[in-house]
Parts: sequence; structure tokens; C-alpha cells
Amino acid sequence: MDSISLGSQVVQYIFTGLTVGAIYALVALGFNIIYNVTEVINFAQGEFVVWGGLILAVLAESLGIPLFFSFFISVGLVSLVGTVIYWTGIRPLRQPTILTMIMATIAISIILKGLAMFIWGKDPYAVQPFVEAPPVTLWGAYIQAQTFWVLGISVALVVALTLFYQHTLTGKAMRACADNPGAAGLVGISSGRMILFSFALSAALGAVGGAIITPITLMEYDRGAMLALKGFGAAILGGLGNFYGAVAAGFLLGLLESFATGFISSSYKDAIALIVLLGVLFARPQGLMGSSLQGDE
Amino acid sequence: MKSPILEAENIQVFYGAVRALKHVSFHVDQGRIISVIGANGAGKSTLLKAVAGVVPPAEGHIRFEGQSIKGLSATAIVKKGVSLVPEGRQLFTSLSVVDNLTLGAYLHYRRKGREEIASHLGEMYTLFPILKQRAAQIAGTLSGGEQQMVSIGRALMSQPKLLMLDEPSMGLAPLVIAEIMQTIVRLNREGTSVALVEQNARAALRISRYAYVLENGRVVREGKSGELLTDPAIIGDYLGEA
Ligand SMILES: Nc1ncnc2c1ncn2[C@@H]1O[C@H](COP(=O)(O)OP(=O)(O)O)[C@@H](O)[C@H]1O
Ligand SMILES: [Mg+2]
Repeated sequence: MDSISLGSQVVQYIFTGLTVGAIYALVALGFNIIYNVTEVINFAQGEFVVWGGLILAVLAESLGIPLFFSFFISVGLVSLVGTVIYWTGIRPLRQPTILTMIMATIAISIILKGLAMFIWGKDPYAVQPFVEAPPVTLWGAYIQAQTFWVLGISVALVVALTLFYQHTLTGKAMRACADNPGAAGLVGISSGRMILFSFALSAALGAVGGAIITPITLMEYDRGAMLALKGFGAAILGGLGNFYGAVAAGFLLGLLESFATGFISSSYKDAIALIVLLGVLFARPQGLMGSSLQGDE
Repeated sequence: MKSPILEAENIQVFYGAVRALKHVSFHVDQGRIISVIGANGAGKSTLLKAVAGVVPPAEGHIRFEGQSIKGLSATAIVKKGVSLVPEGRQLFTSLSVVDNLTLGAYLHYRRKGREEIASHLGEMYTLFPILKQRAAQIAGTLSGGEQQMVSIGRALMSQPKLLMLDEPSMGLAPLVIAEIMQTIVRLNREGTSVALVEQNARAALRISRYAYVLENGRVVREGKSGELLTDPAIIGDYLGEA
């Protein structure tokens, strides 16, 4: 407390909060993408972040592939993992109900975590920052350059996702399928294919989250469950299915955590998401921002 | 003599243990309008759903342009040229009017150019000028009649040879019903064969050439629509209210 002013501490917490919050937002968006088409909560969502970070570490650090290419290969591979989950865990279910599908995603998350431990072991992995640059000093706070990559890429993704849903045929077909699956079938939109896309897309989002955050926080095999929990808290807080709500809630959750860590104790950090989750479920189950991307059903 | 574009023979459909269609046969002649009338729960929607591949028929044959379409997926059947305007419109209520319409051509995007689809869209706006003004509006906020137009337009965007409509008049004011019926006649004149299911028997019989009467999952009468319109038994059971 001595030499650092309160003002620069606050700035520091804000940037830390926004950085973590961006990842929560991406995980929450991933939940929503799948939820809107299937009403399934995919609890393997956090594993995508872990896999994105760990694959990037192998490619960029161990194999020495340029970071730019490693990034895209990692995201591509993880979205492949997403489609494999659909093919092996969701599609084969006989008489799938929402509940059995959700249980399948929990089983899959456990398998992915086990696999990750088998492949990468228990040690954390590091990735070099995207660009070597000294920290930026803002009002006395030191902000790592990677922070700006995290924020910039996250915001760009949200914009890209919005454009995708609003302006591309596949994006519209996914919305149509979420809106009225029966009618979508009548115009020849295969709901199976849309669900497959949504798994691939949300896996890709998670992988991007993992890839951009690993240079700051490192990555290890067992972070998935906590990330899923935080992202789920954000998705609920933003109103399940609501894209902008998820983004805002992700950042809000990140900020709350960061300030709780800074002003109270880091041991309460993880409790914040749970408290928020429970609070919202008790007080405002529809989330702070009401309903879905689609508007009320 | 016109050859049938659609022939259905001996169809049976079960929902669990409930037999919703019992040995139903009907056909649609090329370029004609047929109607199926009957009370609520008679099995009219089930009949169209069986043809469209939405519910699987347990028994019977369904042939479209001479080829069996029984057991095909709904998507495959749309591709062949059969399109269903479902009961209750079933729009993508959170999407805009123009998105609803263009998604009707979803299966064509890979084979046809965007210009061709845009030109079909133009035809829809000629058919339903009001939809052009409403193009950007969210479909769920339209009036019932406008929603029905979007639903018909969406089905037409797949360029069907056979258009099947499930109670398009439901919940609409008489003037709007007349407009929808006129549109169906116009589409038919332009070459689309039509199967029309209606509880509004009078409106359906007026524009169709041939009609079937469905009761408890069975065809209990069939004949030329003009004859059914003046048949005392039909008047008593189905046309009395008007
Ligand atoms: N999904 C379903 N599950 C069980 N029974 C159904 C289902 N759909 C329709 N039925 C039953 O099948 C019969 C015919 O229904 P339907 O085809 O909708 O009649 P209509 O369109 O003439 O009103 C009714 O007895 C109805 O209750
Ligand atoms: Mg019906």
C-alpha cells in the first residue's frame, strides 16, 4: 500500500479485471451459442480454453512454429475437438433429452481434463506474449502489452460474431434453428448440422480465450472446471442466451473478482462467481438483461 | 386427363398407440388444387406432415412425380419440390421478414446464384407488395395476415412444384382470407399444384377442383368440390355455419 497510490491500484485492478473478464465473456458466449440452438449447457466449455492454451504452448514454444500460425492451428484443432464432442458425445445419444445431453457434456469435460493431464502433465505451460513490448504505464499502473491483445481480440470476436449471426446465411440458419427448429427443418436447415456448427464455433471461441490469456496467466490441465463455472456465472448473469448480456456480465464478473482480490483477499476470488451465480438464480433467474439474442420466446 | 403429381395410397400414421390416419389415399393432379376438409382432430395436419416427411407413415405409399418419397427426410422432400406451409405459420419470429423469406431458399444457395435468389425474392414482393414495405420488420411483430403471407412466401422461395397449405385461413379476418385464397388461385394458375387443408370448408371448396373429407383419420367422402359444395350432407356437417 505504501508507495502505490490508491488511484493507480484501481487502474491496475480494472485492467486485470477486464482481462480475466474477457475470457469469462468468451466462455459465456460459447455457452450461449450452444444453448440457443440446443438448450444444452455445455459444461465442457472451460476445457476448450485449456486446450486452446496448451496446444498453443506446444506449437509455439515446443515446436517453434511462428505464433501467428500456431494461434490459428490451435483454434482450428480445438474446434475440431468441439465437433468430435458432438459426434461422439451428443449425436449418438438415444432419445436425447436436455438433461442427458448436459450430463454427457459433464462426462466429456472430465474426459478432456484427464486427456489433458495425460498429454501435458500437471505443470503449467507458458507462451511468449504476442508481441514483445514493455508494459504500458497508465496513471501509475503497469499494464502488460498482452492485456491489449486480450481486450482487442475479444472485442473483435464479439463484433465478428454479431456480423456472422446477422449477415451470413449460416448465421441466419443457426438463428432460425434456435428460433423454430421445426420450421427450420421444413426449409431444409438440418438441425444436426447447426448443432455441429455451434459446437465448433463455441470451441473456437474458447480456444481463442485460452490462446490469448496463456501468455499472461500460464495454462494448466485442470483450469477448465473453474473457467466453465465463471463463464456459466457470466452467462446466467447476462441472461442465458443473451449475447451482449454475456459479454457485459463476463467483464463485470472479472472486475468484481479483481477488486475482491485487491481490496479483500485473493482467497475470496473464486467465491465471487458462485455468489453472483446463486444471487442471480435466486433474485433474477432471467439474468440482469432479460432474455435472449432472439428476444422473448 | 391430367396425371397425378402426388399419389398417396393407404397411408397409416401412428402417434404411439393412437392411429391418426387409417388407410388414407388421395392424389393431387398436376396443376390442380385439391382440398382436404374436416373437423379439428380429423387428421388433416398429420396427412400433410406425412407427405412432407415430418412424421413417418407406418404403412402405405407416397409418390411424387412417379417416384417414391416415403421415408425421405423433410429436407430431401423439399429438394424434390414439395413445400409445406405449416399450421399456425411457424415463422422464425425473431428474424426479419426478408430473412424469413431468404431462408426459404436455403437449399438453393449452393446451386443457384444470389442474383437468382434475389429475383425470386422480387417475385414474392410482387405477389405480396406489403411484405416489401415490411422487409426489415421482425416477423413476429406482423399482423396475422402478413405472417401468413411470409409463411407462404417462405415456402414458395424453395420453388416448389407442389405447395401444401395447412389451414392458411386460421385466425384471419374474412377479407384477408379472401386475399390469401386469391393468391393461392393465382399461384396455381402460374403452374403450382396445390394441396389445401382447411376447416374453413366453404373457402377451400370454392377454389379447389377436387376435395376429400376426413373424419377420425379416414377419408369418408371425396368428389368434385362443386358437388360437395351443394351436397346437403356436407352442407349440414361442414358448411352450416356460413
Ligand atoms: N404429436 C402428436 N402426438 C400425439 N397425438 C397427436 C399428435 N399430433 C396429432 N395427434 C392426434 O392425431 C389426431 C389428428 O391430429 P391432426 O392431424 O393435428 O388433426 P387436424 O389437423 O385435422 O386437426 C388427433 O387426434 C390428435 O390429437
Ligand atoms: Mg391441423
